[in-house]
Amino acid sequence: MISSLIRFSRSLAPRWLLIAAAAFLLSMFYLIGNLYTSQVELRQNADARLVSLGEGRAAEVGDFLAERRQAAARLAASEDISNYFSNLDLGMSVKYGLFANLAAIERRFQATVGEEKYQGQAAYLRLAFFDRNGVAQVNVGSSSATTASPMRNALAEPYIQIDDKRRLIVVSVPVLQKGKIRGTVETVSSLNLLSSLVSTNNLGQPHEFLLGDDGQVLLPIEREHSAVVTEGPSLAKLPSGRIQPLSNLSASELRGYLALRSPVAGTRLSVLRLASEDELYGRTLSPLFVFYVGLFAIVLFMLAIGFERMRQNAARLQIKFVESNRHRAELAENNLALSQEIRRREAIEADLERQREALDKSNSELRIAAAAFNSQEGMIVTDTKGVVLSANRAFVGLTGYTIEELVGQTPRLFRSHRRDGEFYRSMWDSVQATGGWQGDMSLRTRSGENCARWLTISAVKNETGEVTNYIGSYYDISKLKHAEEKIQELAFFDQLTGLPNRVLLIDRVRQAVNANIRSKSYGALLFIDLDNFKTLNDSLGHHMGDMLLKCAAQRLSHCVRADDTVARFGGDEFVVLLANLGTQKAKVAALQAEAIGEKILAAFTEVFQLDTYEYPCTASVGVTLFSTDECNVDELLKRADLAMYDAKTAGRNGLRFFDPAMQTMITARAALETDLREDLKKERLLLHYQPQVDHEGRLLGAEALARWPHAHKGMISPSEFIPVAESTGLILPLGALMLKTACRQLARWSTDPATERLTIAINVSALQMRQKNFVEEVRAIIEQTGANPHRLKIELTESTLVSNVDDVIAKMGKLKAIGIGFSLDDFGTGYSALSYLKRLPLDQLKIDRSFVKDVLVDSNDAAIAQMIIALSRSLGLSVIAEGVETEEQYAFLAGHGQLSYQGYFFGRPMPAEDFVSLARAFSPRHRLKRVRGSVNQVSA
Amino acid sequence: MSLKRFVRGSLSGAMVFLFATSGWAADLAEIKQRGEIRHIGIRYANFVTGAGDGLDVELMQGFAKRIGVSYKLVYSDFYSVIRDLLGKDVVRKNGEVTLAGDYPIKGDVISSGFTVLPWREAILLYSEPTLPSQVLLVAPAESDLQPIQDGADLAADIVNTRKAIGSKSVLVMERTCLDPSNYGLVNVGIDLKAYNKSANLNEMVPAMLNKEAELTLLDVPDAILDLRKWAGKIKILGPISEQQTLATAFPKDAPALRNEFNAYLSEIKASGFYDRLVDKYYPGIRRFFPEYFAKTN
Repeated sequence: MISSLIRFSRSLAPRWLLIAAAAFLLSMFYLIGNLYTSQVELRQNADARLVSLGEGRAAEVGDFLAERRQAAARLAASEDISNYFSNLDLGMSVKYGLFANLAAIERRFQATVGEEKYQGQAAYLRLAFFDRNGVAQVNVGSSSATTASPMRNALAEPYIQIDDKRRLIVVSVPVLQKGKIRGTVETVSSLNLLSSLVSTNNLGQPHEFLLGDDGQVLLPIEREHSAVVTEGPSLAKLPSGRIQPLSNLSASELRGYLALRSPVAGTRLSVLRLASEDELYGRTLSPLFVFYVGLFAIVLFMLAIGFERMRQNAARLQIKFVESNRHRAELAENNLALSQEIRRREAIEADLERQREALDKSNSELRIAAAAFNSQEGMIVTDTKGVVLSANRAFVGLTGYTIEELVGQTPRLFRSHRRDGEFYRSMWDSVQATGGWQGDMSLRTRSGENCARWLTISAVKNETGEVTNYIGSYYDISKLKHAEEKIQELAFFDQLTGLPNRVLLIDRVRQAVNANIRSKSYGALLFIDLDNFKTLNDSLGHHMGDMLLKCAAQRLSHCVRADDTVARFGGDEFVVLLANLGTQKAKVAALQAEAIGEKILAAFTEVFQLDTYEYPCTASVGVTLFSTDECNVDELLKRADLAMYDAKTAGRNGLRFFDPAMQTMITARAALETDLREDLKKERLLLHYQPQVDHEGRLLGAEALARWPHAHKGMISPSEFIPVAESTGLILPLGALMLKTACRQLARWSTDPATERLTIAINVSALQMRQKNFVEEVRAIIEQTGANPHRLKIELTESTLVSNVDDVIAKMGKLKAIGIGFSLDDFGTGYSALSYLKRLPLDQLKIDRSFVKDVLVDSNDAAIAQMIIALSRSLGLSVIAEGVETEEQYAFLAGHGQLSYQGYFFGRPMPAEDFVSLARAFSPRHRLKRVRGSVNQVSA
Repeated sequence: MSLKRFVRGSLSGAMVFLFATSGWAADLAEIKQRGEIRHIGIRYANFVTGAGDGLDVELMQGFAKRIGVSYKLVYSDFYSVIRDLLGKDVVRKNGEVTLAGDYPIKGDVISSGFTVLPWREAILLYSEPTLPSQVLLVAPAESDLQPIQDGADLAADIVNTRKAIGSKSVLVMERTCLDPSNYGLVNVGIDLKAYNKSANLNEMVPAMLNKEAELTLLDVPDAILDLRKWAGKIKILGPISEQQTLATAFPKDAPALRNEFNAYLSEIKASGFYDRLVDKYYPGIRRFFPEYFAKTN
């Protein structure tokens, strides 16, 4: 213990100077603190003394006033005054009664005035008693101290008034009698009584004042201290009970003074005391000054200590300098080693930084790959054999397969059947050869829909370059395709009407020309111009013009077939391209083109409704045909344009062909139509009957063939007027007339033994069959003519079965039910609906003349003929070959089955009379040769 | 004993005594010689309080001092006071006053708020007035009678007051200043109630309040005291008499004494001593008789 104390003291020994300085500082702090505290307390005591003195003064003044108030109250409550009012209430008059009370009051007042003293002076100058009306009933004392009576009427509470001018203190108290105010007692004292309470100091200057609330100096009486008088209002506003320096007042005499305002309780008076600092605190040192003196001493001592410490430090620095030199050398060696170590660690750190960056990059790439894999495009990952290992959400959503359903499958699962196997093999070869492939691909979803996608296949290789996986990305190109379509639409279609524009038209015309050159068939161009369009534009504006163009485009589109093209060529010009009229015959082509042209003209006969306007507009149509002509597209358009101008020149609302011959033909055709219509009405058309025989040459009947004996042009070929009848709708009355004629003939035949068993085959067009009342019409004709329906055979062409076959079958069934037979004409040349063949209630197939014609020279025709024969046999149908013109043909056909025959070899078509003659001459017992010879004789 | 017999007996006795003791009447010289003045006083209001002081007591004390003799107070009452001064009893008959009988003379001067009345002047010497007085009609506070309104004419006030009496009974004290015969109240239909339980006028108001009569007569000096003593319990209805004079009475054979007293009285009035005495014992009486005190001052 002792040894530790010794060690501690030794450790403090070198610091004795510091310890002494600290002790000195502590003692100085203590002394200064005590001195400062003492000064503060002295001042506080002086302040408290001043405050106490001021409050004492105010209390004395207050007590004086309170005494006056109490004395006045006592007088007011005196028995004499009470008696006065009692007797007054009894009705006594002053003269006979109240005088005694007033005398008693007066005596009491006089006694009070005479007896009440304050510091040796009379406390009252005057006492007065006022009745309720303010009339002074008793007034005792100095007349000079009278006040304007009453001071307060109906005074409710004691009231003190300071009359500073007359220097009076007037106290008024109410006289209460039985709780009612009956009058007032007023005491008047001299204000000077209070002068004894306000002292002056020995310096000759009054330092204590009595102030009114308005700052009026009431005391002392001598007011030499004018500064207080002039500053009274400001001094009266000083905060009460607090010593305030008067540094802000304008009166210089008061500067440096301290002021204390003590309010007199219960009044508006204040006692103001002034004192200079010396007077208040005496000539003591300022605490601040003491503090600075102490601080100066401390600073001096600290400087001394500092200098001593600096001297000691200098000595120690000298020693340390030598020591530091030695250490510096050691440090230099250490620094060298440390530098080497730092460089080594920096190298390691740089290496680590590179690895970290590589790792960050790798992670970033992985994140990118993950993000890319989960992009909006469908993606799959397969192994090298194409087995799906993974698919992203977009691909799952695209195909509708779940990820579980996809994983483990190959792309065959969602491969579209639109592409053949060769395509996929080629794609796979490319992938394996180049490591990638991209192209348009169609995906088949789980629901069977096909989606257009752009597939990109990329091979994933490992570090050795070996392919480990394939990534397939399916980009949505539907928008791209839509954009392409939009571009194409903008490039090739007219924005106003939506029709193909001039560019697309020219392209299609070029294609059609090329195609027709190959097929040797005809096409046609119709150049259409709206009549008087400019007038509309100028009168009603372009808006109406545009509306008309749109309406015209719609009407034009309704006039053509689906394969045809209606184009807006420019302005009010339209071009209709009839790419393929399906005929190699110019006349037929011209008729078809003319028919469409007429349809167009007819479409323009109705007025156009343009907003509220009904606008009639006709068109002029120019037509040119094209087939094998080696003219270019521009030439064709120019021809059609010229023809259109020809129509305009001819009076508008018309149609003209570029070729004059065509125009002539059309004109002639129109005349033919007129004649046909007229002759049909007059039933001038006839039937000629071509014999039909069985395999043994027996006459079975005839095919009725229409003949038109024109009044001026002689017999007109059916190939000439039948197309006219078909195109004009006259085929229906024509067919009805022919059917009626045939039935009449049957009826006549039924009466002749030679013809009673014969049948008549009559051709019925598809148009007739589509008539709703066709069955009823046939029945009516049979009933009207009395023909045996079992002897009637209707020949239908394959074109009849093109549409609404069920309706045809139903009608055939109804007619079949009444005994009418059916033969399918031209079998093998057109629509071979073998699937319907079985459903049709047919009795006979007819081998077309085109097959029979070359049956000996064309193996295909021969095969067809054989197939038809075999087919009819299998279906249980009879077969008839038409167009048999030679014996070789007959022999070939007879060699393949028991057929019926029709043709020149057996007889040409002939009038009914000739046929009856033939039938009569035809005998079942006759030999075939004889028959044949007879027929030929008749025909001749 | 009836009042008549009493008066008759007393009067005959007084006449004898008058002549027998007339030598006892003393004037100033005798009094000075004797060295003592005997003051006959009646306990009445604040004139002679009975406690050894009073207005007349102090007056007479001052007078004794002036003439250089000792002072002695001899108490008497209103019935005996003249007899005690003159040694003869007073007989009033048919408007005449005679002295009868011989009685011991007990004093030299009567000073006790003694009203100057004509019949008294016939047998006594009066000094200058020592105090004015008047007789008032007093009623209890609860009486339905109302005080008269102040009038400028005293005679009219008296008439109004007398009218107010009506059939009310009035307490009176004969042979005193409250004797109704002095004021024409006898035999005029007024119900007079003579108070004879005592000769002390101070008991009039208590007797009235004790329902012995509905009204009472009261002189001003008593009224001043009773208005304070019975404040709120009595009320003054109005005057019954003209203004009266109180004065000190001397025997007819003591003119020197009376003159000396008058000199004394003038002196103290001039010195203010008299006023102080008045204010001391009858504060307010100045207000009632302002004219009198104006003359005095």
